[in-house]
Amino acid sequence: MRTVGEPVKQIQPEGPAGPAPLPFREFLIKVQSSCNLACDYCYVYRAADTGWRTQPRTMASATAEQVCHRIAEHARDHALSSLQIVLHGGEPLLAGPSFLDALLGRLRTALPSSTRADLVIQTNGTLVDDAVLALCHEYGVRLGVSLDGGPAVNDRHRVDHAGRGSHDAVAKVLRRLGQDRHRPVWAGLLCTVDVTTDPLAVYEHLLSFQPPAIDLMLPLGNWDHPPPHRSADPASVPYADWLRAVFDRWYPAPGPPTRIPFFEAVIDLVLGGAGGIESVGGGPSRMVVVDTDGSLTQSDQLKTAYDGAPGTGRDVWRDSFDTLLTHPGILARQAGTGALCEECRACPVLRVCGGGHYPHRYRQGSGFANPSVYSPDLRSLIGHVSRTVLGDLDRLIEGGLPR
Amino acid sequence: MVTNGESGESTSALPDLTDVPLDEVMSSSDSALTQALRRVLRQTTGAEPPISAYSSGGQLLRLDEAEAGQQG
Repeated sequence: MRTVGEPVKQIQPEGPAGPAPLPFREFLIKVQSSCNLACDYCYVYRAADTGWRTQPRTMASATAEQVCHRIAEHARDHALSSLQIVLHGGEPLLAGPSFLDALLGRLRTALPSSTRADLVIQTNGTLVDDAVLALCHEYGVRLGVSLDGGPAVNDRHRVDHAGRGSHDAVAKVLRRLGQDRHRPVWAGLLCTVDVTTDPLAVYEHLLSFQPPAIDLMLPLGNWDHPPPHRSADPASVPYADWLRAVFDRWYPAPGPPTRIPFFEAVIDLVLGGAGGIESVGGGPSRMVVVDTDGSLTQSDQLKTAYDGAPGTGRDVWRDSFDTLLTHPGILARQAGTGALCEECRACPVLRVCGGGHYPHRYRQGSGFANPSVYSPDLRSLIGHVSRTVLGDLDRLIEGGLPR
Repeated sequence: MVTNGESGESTSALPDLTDVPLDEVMSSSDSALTQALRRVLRQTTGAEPPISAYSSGGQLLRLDEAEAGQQG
């Protein structure tokens, strides 16, 4: 292995926030609180938080208008050069084309011309039709589509309210999105990892649709409610094993690899860069959620911790996004290593792991001041990626790139 | 030593990139490693580091690329 010399300029995380919290750059808008699927791992309906029960099914037009105003206000006040807006649910396409048309049109006109907005709809994919695709093309919106693998894998979890699998309907849509004319409006696939599946079969199935990116997401869980098959034995690393198999297929593949943000983030961090995703690296979170009724909340994935965990008591009618920047929950996620527990701060893979995904750290009593419940898996996977990448870096420096 | 994350080993130190053949990396065909090196090099010159994006089907990619001055 190589010894460490003086590195070229390296990216440092933006935290700790210090006297001026970082403005939000990612806005998740819950336009619909209901869903036409009933996935068994859904963190909206099956987790500790029950906020969805009191939310309106669809965001009211007046609320949507106020959300656009608040986002534009934040962009102007902080001279944001770019931001991301994700329409989310529930299933956001249940809000209907006319609602989405009005919202997207308002967003485009409300935002300052100096702010570049990346618009995404995160969907289960079952309701994508001509009208949706036309909207995506008109407003430059991209679709992130959830799919967990082939029919037997996907339909184990992703079923409708009658228990019918969603794979075939989604696959039909993905084949359309893969056509040249629709590829510009396809962000990629979101796959929740199931360690009981064959990782290579899942990967190859997802790859068969030729997606621009595959996001691999670890199931939400924490120390009180561990993820499936994540035992207390630190020697057991089923998620690292699953991900390592996919990494070993993906990493050496010839040609431009299909982007896998999780792997890219780990490699970038190993090389001294920034990760760019919230589940590793410990970078500051700059994301805020607007619920269907206009409430301002922290990450909706905190719903897995305890009832009411994402709540802030603020809403778009009374409060600007700025008022949320001093909320303790927001500050904690911008504090970098300062917000981590002692065990994490002493960990040899901290620089890459960053404490893992914030919701995965929760334990009743100590809150989020714990290592990730996936800590053994993260440590094992980071070790594997690090060995692979740094070994290749050695070879690159010694002999150049293979021809 | 830059080693790995298994017990007793560490990724806390930064790798030394000073001897990386940059011209070759920038002009070479794509691989996961060369793409990563390009991203890290772009980050060192970027005005604003990438956000820690929410997992949502790859939506972070366009901004990263746009900030790098590339086509999305």
